[in-house]
Amino acid sequence: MKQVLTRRECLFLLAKVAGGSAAMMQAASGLGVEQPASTFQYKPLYKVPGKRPHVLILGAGISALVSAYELTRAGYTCEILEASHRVGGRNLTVRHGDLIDEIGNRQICDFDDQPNLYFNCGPARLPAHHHGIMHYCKELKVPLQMFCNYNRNCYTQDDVCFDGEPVRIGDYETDIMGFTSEIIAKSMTTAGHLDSPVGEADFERIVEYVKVQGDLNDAMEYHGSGRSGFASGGVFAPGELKPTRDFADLLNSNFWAGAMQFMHIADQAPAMMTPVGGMDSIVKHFLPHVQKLITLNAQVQMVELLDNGVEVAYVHQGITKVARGDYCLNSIPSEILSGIENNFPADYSEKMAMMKRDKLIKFGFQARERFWEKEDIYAGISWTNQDITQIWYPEHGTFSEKGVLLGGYSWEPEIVDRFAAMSPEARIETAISQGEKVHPNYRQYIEKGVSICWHRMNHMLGCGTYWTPEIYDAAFATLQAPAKRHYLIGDQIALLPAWQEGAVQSAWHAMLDIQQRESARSATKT
Amino acid sequence: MRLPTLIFLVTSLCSTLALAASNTSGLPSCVVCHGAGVQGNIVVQAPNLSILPAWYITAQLEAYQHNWRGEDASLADAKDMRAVALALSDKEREQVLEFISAVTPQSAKPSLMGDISHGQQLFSSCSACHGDVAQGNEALKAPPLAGQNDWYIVSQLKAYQANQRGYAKKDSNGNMMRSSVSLLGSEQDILDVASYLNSIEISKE
Repeated sequence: MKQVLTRRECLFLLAKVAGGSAAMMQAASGLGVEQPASTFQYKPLYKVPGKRPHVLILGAGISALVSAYELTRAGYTCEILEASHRVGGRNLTVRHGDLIDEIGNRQICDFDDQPNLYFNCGPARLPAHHHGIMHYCKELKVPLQMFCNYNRNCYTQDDVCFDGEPVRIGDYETDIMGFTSEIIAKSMTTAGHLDSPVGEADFERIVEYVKVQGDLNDAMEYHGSGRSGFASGGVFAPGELKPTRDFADLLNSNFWAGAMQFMHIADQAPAMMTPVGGMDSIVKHFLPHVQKLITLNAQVQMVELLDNGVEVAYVHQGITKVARGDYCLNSIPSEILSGIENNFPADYSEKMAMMKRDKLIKFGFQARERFWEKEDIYAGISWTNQDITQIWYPEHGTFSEKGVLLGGYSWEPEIVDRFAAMSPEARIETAISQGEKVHPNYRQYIEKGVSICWHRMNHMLGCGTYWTPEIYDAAFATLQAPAKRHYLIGDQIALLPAWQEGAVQSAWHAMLDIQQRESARSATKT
Repeated sequence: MRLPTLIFLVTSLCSTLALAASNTSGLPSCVVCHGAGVQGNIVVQAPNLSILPAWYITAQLEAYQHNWRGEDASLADAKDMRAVALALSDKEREQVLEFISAVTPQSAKPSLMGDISHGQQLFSSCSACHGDVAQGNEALKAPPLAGQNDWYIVSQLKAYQANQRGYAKKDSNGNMMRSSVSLLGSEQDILDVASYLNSIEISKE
């Protein structure tokens, strides 16, 4: 009897078939092996006993906002030093007039001044099981709406098949599942079942399963399915099935190996949520509680660990200042922190330098007309093998005059490097011309665009930290633990790269450790 | 507390640093990649600028602007720098030079384990241009190398060898260096020289 493939073996095969590219590996992780469960359960910090410890928080992204919000409620005093001109970190939503502070390429977002014309440059979606960030959306009353990651009316476009023409995802998936199910059913009903690991009764159930999965006829053949909609009819006359696509073409496409599995990744699976009016609604809802604690344009120059605290030198409006905390929660991106003078233990510094960060670019385009609605698309993602990789359609502003769509989202380093090297105008032009492969009339609708190249963004220099198993084993525990009274926080110190959940949980990990130290301190006093 | 040396300078320079060239804190954007004291940051592959004189930085910013550096598709970090060089106005460039000139030079942290004494021997054939202790020679347009990041010396020597730097016809100084790298034969030689240069006690100007 043949061995049943383990999940890990399946993963290996999938990665091999997909050519081992980073994107496909990412998709492959969707089989559920690598997804950490969210263990977040909200329980407020204890009121800190006795003297109110002062906590210095570096950076003003989600991890910092969560920390300041919780610590002040528990009686600590906090101050937040933020190097950039704004609060939110990579939670960045741009609208009319906003600065996109890319080093060497400052852009001002020139979208029309309309409330529905915004673009989420960083995080854009909230998985239901990210209990930490969802807790704060609930607690702070951040209005949420559905986010659509998967829409069968969107397109897949691949130069190697269907003459490069875009194909509706629904058509593609129905046909490839039909044809593959037919082959599986045929091989099972001939000699295949001799090797089957299950008994006769179960075996029949499996054959039936395959039939249902592919929408096969009673002869176990696939000749098209109404699942992809009808070519004609269906209202007053019986529906005519669409002609099926060529099986060889379906297989030639890489869609099945990566993008088709995307919605099976736990963190990307429907149904997802997003804040109404832009992801920065989360930041705006934190602000009333913490705004007075924040100093913007405060660039840290030195971090010094002391025995009983942490001292920081920073420059604010050209003046050097010093701040001191009993504790320091530091969300400065590891790569930038490595260039800031410090007296971290050698081991801590060495391991911090091992952290590698992803490169990622996103395009936001303003369309003069919501052309996608005329194609039965009201949200979701189209996929292409062009460098732009994806086009997202907004789930908000339906039937309004204009809309902002995502004109490209690339995370392969070579692709991002190609875009990064271009002038801002050339980036937009390239992304539009690639988008024309998905929507032939694309160009006539796109009025304006911005590009956000995260590894060049001032005070960011990257996106999520990419923890390889080797780097994780070597460095994570050391960096998650405090160095004296200094704690690294942010999504960088969680295995959820670029997810706000990582930021929330990293903050809690540090705060619980501080709470324990404070409890121990007050216990020894009494 | 130990106040970093650069901080005094920042305070004195702030009035001259225009917002356009700088972060809104008053510091030039250089420090985000090159480090708070522009002493170099291996993690983002940004070299030590604190040891470099204004004339050399000017020449290299121009080299980026002319596409004499960073042309090769594999040099993503150099392309990042090229974008900055292209975006700087003349006034901003002056402000950056002023800032870097005022920063106290410091040696980069060593990251490689080359044979320093062998590197020193090999360097004797470089010293005619770069100076006895790699202090640089403005007349010959040879930059100081003492205290430079060892990994950066390695990457640049390899870039010259691979025709990724010094290739442009008009880049006469780059041409000169490109033809000189043949003096260093093996990978080990390059490593040794880099470790030696990193280890030299620095003097600026």
